[in-house]
Amino acid sequence: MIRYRGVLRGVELFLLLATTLGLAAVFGLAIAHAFNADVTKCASRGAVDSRTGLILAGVALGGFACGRLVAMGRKWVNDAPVIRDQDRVRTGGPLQGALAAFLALAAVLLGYETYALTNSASAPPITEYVRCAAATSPTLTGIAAFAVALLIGNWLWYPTE
Amino acid sequence: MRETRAVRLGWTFLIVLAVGVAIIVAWTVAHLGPGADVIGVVSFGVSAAVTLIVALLALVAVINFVSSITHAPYIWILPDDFASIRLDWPIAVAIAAGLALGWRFWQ
Repeated sequence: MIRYRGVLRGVELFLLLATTLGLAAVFGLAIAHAFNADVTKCASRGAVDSRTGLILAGVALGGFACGRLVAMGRKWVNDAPVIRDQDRVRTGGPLQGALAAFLALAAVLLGYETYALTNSASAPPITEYVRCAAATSPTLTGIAAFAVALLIGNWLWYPTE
Repeated sequence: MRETRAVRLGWTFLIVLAVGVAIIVAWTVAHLGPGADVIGVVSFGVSAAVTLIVALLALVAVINFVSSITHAPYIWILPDDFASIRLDWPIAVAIAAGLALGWRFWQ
């Protein structure tokens, strides 16, 4: 299996790229729809039935758990050292850039969400956009939730041993 | 992949993070008086805390990405004493707490 590590690293990069492009397409679609929609209609919790909400929460949790499994696989593929305090670290590669971009985008979106929670009249919170997305296209919302949770689980629940 | 020197800022990072979250928690608790919009205040507090944590992580990730290009020293933010702790239990507790909080206030 060890001799396949090079190939598997290529597969790893391909999957990351495919997931990123897929998410960009889904979010692009959602943004395009949001421009012509009145998301304030999704301000109330009743906009999505509780069963759909529970299923989407379960899908996101499943994606997070799968992210852990992917992280274990990536650790083996990259022959990564044990994570502990050290003076020298291995760096570089597009994965590090993708992580930085992902976290920066997440920080900007969360900042907007925080602002919008107190200024919902002029800036609808992201919660309302997600509720509308879940109400109009639960399958695509589930796919996006799974993919985002998978990336988060993969990066933040990386094996330390 | 290549190796670079790591600058250990674990405890500094943790202290900045803890102080920031403590200030947000104090603000949230202070605004939970009688007649307060509990869901609104808790939503704002949680959102602000998560924004702070993710923004600090993003700042480190961006600095380290630039470091990997410019060959500058890397920032290591895992505190010495916590480096060997398994993440499994803290993450399980965080998920359970998130679900309980979400069920209590937003369900």
